[in-house]
Amino acid sequence: MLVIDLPEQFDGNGLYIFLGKVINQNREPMDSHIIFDFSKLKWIEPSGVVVLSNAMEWLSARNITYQYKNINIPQNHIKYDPIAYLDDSQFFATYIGKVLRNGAKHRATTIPLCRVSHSKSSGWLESCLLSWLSDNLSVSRSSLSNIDVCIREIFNNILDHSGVKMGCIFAQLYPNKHEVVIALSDFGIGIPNKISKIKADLCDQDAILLASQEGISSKSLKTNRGVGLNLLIQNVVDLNGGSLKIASGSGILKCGRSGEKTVRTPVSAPGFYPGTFIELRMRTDMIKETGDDREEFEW
Amino acid sequence: MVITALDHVPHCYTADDGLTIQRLVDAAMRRGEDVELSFAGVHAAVPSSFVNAAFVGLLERYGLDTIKRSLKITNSTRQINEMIRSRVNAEAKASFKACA
Repeated sequence: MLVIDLPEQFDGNGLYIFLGKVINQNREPMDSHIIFDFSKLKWIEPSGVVVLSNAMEWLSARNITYQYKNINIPQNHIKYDPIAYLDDSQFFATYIGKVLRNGAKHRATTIPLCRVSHSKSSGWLESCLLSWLSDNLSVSRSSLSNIDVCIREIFNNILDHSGVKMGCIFAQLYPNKHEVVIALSDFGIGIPNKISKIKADLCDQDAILLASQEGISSKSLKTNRGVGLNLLIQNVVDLNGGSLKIASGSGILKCGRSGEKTVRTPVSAPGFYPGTFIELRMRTDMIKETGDDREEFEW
Repeated sequence: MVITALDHVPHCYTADDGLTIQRLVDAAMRRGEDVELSFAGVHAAVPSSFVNAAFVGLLERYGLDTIKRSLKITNSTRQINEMIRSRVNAEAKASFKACA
């Protein structure tokens, strides 16, 4: 039996500390029974929520049993309490079958945590993510085509390249920052493993950078043209002015604006990511009402 | 001939959906027919996997000029149009470079 403390800050760095305790580099679980101790957890971001969820899915698929310890919610100030946040996100409803406190439900600024298979992703996008954004931002569904195509590109990448069919996804709006953060995680084969089939001698962050360039494809399917990640970056960074992080294996690719330019920065990760993690930070103030977007086609 | 995409696929999303459309358009073009491909009812965004599978094979078989002459896209959105134009033109340019 192994006791694992959740990190104090379950964010972009904390997720590596957590995963390093759960999964070894041979992609095996650290123990056959794990107790997750929540007592040190002080802050959790959408990235932490999807990674925690993906870890539970991954352990369950390997018949690893787990329990939670110290999942206590204070009486006051629950808005900023990470366990209350997880409770509201439906994390405990999903993994222990019940919410921790009566009336826990997803907050207006978040969607419920979802495990979405590719086959269900189109319906989920329509009924959950896009309708939630449309309501909160007071724009028509067609005004969100930029976000719609990004998530579809990611789900097609999971289907075509990851070797798994399921991704965990969570999103939060930050109205004061005019930002929506969408985090997706799969524990599939990972980008560096796929790229090693066409170029073997790259470090993981350079493999992700290469995969992000147009025309680079491992040809998992004959029709692949290696444009999905590049399109994702164009939509998030070039068109929306947002930023994007792609983590896989021991590498991270950070994409954002620097002046008028889109900058793609490969960096070494502070740990190992057993699959692919993508975080989109998109500017909601750049989402404009487009009205009817039907348009006559011209070559 | 009019081919309405949603009569043949549940959505315009995956490479498999795109290949289904490609086969239908290809069959009509082999018969020498002009094709109108309608996206009526498609309100969702159409990603690159669908467009690559639906159009790039046709481009390789018939060339860009014939595609532009014989294939008309209707009832589409700005996003669908932009995705088709950018993917088809990029692939045409890449194959031109490869031949040069």
